[in-house]
Amino acid sequence: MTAIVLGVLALVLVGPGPLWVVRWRFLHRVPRAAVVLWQAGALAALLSIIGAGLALGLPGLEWSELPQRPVAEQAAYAVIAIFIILVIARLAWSLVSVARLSGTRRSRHRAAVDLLGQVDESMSLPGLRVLAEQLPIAYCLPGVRGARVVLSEGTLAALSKAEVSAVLEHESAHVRARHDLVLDTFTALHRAFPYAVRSEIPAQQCRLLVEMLADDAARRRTGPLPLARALVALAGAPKPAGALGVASLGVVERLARLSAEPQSSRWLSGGVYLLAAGLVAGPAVILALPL
Amino acid sequence: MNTLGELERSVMDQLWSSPEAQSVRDVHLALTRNRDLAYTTVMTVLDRLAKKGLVRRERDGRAYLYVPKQTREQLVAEVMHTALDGDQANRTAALVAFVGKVSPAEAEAMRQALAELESQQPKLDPSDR
Repeated sequence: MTAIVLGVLALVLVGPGPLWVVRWRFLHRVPRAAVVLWQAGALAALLSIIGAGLALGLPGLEWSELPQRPVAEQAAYAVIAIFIILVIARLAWSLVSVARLSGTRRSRHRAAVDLLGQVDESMSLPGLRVLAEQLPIAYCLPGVRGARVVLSEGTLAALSKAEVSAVLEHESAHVRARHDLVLDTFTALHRAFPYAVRSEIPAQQCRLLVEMLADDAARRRTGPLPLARALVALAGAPKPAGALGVASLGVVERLARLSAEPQSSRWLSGGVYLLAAGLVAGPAVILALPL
Repeated sequence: MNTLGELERSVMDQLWSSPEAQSVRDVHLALTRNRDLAYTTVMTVLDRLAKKGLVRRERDGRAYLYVPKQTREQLVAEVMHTALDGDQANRTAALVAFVGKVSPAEAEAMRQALAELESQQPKLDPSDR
């Protein structure tokens, strides 16, 4: 019984759960708590799968008398144990390979940017590199050491001084808060689930939420207007034909957020954190309950 | 000021300037025309560039010759490609972009939202632009 409940819980957390939570627009008001909620949801799904396996195996099992049990029963326990180990191993492997892959990509890109970009000392941001390109680009290359923020001359030409500092503030917030770790974890988690049940939603939402967190950091420094103008100027800029086709996620929502007055949301974020804690505790509680 | 980044850049520029493979001596000679630089420094920098996968080392008798793996233009193209293109998931793995690409409809919605924001805060206008 416990195994069935946990199995159903895992399915809900992986499938319909995200579809439902993605419609909670109020989460955009508390992006930090929302990221934690998505992380908690993923963790709870994992714990439920492991818990379901344990619940199948645990009842009435005395390890010392296992050798005396019938072979079929021993085999069943072995299958369950292998399943749990596989789930954990697959996730661990996925985390390691995503971290390694993005690590090599980043250091390769950083080496190239260091060779091609100019150091702009007037901006007082040590990792800033300016590429001599007319296409407006702005991004950060996160990393433990040697994070870079990359702009192009086109970006500097298209933006006013206040707008440039809003963009820089946004990018440094990404670097400071290690948002790349959040994104890498969700990419890894996404890859660890089998194709049939994996959902794009949590990773996508977290990408949007870390953008909102960085927007908030920039807004605190420069106010909403320069950031909003920079968003419009850079998003509306012409892109090379070959680069079309990638749907951007939520730039319109980010802008809408900037035009709303920031409101106190302590209760809301408290509630979301509580929900996150409940999600993580859920599988353990179900496992402990006598069902 | 000879920072490491600046040194790597001038060594790379020197390699890019000629279609021929160059030895440490060639690079050292070219770079010391207008500044003072130790031979071993040039060697170290070339070694670092090779480790980063930016230059290829070829054996020529007893010396090593160095060739850039890509032309400057190819490297620029690669950087711009990573910055602007690729599928979203892969791109996120390398870098975090300020904005993605938007459809014309989204661009229009954004302009409207901005106009609304600007009308809320007219007092900020003149000081900014």
